[in-house]
Amino acid sequence: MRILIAEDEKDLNALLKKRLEEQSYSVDACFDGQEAIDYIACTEYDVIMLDIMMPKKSGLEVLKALRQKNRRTPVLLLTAKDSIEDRVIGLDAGADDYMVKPFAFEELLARIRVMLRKHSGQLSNLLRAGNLTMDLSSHTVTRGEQKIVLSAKEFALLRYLMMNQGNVLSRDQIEQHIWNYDYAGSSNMVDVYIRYLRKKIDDPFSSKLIHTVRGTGYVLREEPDQ
Amino acid sequence: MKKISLKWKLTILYTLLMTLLTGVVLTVLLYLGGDLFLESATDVLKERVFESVDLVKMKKGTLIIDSDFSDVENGIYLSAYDETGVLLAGRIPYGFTSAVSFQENTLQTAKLNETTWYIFDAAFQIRKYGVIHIRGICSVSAVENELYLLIKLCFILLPLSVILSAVLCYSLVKRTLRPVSRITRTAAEICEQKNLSRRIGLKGSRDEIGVLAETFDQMLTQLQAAFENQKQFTSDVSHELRTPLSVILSQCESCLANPALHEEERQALQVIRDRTTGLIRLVSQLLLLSRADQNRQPLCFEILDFSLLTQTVMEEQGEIARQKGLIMETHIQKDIILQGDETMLFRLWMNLFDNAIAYTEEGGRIQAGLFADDTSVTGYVKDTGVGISEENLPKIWERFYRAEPSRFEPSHSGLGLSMVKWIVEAHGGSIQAQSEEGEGSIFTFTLPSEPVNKRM
Repeated sequence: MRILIAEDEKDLNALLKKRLEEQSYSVDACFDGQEAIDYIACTEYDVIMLDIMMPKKSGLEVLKALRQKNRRTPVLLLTAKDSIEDRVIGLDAGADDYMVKPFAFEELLARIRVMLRKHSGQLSNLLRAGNLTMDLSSHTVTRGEQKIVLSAKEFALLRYLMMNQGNVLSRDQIEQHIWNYDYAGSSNMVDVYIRYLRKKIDDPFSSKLIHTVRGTGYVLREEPDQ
Repeated sequence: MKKISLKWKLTILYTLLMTLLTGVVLTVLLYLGGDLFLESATDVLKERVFESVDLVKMKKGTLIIDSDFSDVENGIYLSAYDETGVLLAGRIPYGFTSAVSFQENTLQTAKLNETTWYIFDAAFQIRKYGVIHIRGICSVSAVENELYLLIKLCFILLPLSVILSAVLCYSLVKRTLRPVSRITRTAAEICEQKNLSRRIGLKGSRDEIGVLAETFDQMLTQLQAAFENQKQFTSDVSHELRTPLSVILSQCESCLANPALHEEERQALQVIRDRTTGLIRLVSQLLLLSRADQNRQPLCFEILDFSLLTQTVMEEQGEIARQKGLIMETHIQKDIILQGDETMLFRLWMNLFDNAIAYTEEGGRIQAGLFADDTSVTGYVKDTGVGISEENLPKIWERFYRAEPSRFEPSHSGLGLSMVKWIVEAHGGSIQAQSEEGEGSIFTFTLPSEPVNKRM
């Protein structure tokens, strides 16, 4: 899951990036509205966090530009305490949620989970595929009775696959959603990571969940016939 | 003499000089000093005798001799006699019994009971009285004893002064050279930590060394500024390039999504897309390395199964190698756990394999392995490829170095091995390359198995 933060206050920006990365999200951070528009034009984000008061272009302008292009990416607005009017305009312009600064980080994480869930049509923080269960709030993965320990990147990869269960995801898509701009890409890193994840998720079990779609990419789905 | 420090060299030199000087002084003292000393003793005796005449006066027809006459000064006894040799006044040393005849203005020596005496007589004409004889006596032995005492003292004091001066010289030289060792230490620290922000910071002293240290600091400031400008430039350029490149790429993709595109246009767009993707990767890698140079590249350390990670890469890369017609052999020790940045360690192996695959001809062989001992984990990739010439071997870690410029592959940025080296070093390890041209190369890296608490 890849998140864009557009926030001009440097300390808050850095803090948000760090805390979100700890939750296995890949994060790009930018400092003004124009930069945000550039980033959004290049990459498909899972959540966009926009500060309303930003140099060059305000968060509301960025939001409007995004929705005009019919992009449905969930948007969370960060607002100052006394700007009810902005919040109303923001929500009307297509924002999914807002947070009033200062906010509790746990609450922000919960809101992000809700937005991701709504976007992928999930009902709770528990993701399931066959006997594989993934708890997004406690960061645990179990298959049957067995607990599976995953690294941060593996967790991010599995979460992305689980949230897009049944959809074939291209290598580009996976790379874009798991790594941020800072990652210096390598041609088959996605294949290596999928193979790595399979060793933990699929190899010890008889029914496989991650499937390769030749020439296209990968898909996570339960195949009852196997 | 090579291993002796300047401090000791100076001290030894100085001490040797002092010893030589002392030796000369003592020799001179022994050979000449005795005679000189005795000569001066007789001079003193003569002088005392001649001066003593002032103590003899005629007053109202009576000869008066001052009481000072009887004092024994510098071991010299004075006595006065009249013309007939009758003692008028003064003292004669105890044990001096023999009658020695008067010999005016002549130094006589008399030996009595183991004691040698100097005797000096002088006659004076006292007005209204006549002639009196004044005799001065002093013991040669007493003079000699004094001389021996003096020489003895010299034998103790002079060597003592040599030792003292050696100690003083050592501490003085040490003090003077202390700033030099500080300069050395700073330079060593800069080399070790690759940190140009360090300074000697020698304050207060305006001597030659102080000026040297200050000049050194100024030079460091200029060097640091130059390095930082260069790094900042790379970082800025990479950042400024990335956004427009991403825009080009996304525009290409949206154009390619148009089904009504002519085949020719599609191919052109695909070339643009592929080359742009390559450029984006290149810029990202440059940015990563430039952040690494500035110690700003964050690493995310996790405890991970390095054997499993290695196995995964080898399986994946093995397929690519097989497609190229290469034989792949792997030897991986199981269950090696270490702490590291997972993505970076993947990169480490992938870059080493990419390199081996790219430079090995069809039918060649790639061997790779991983094993651990108590303190370290060692991995290697060996190929039977084109190899690297001895002169080029040190250059392979440089950015954009290519073994053969003609062998240009868009997927190979020329940054792969620079990145490998950085990844290994950021994990506290080291890497070596051995190669023989035409025979193949072997890359061996070692990582500490203890967790490294180094955050870049």
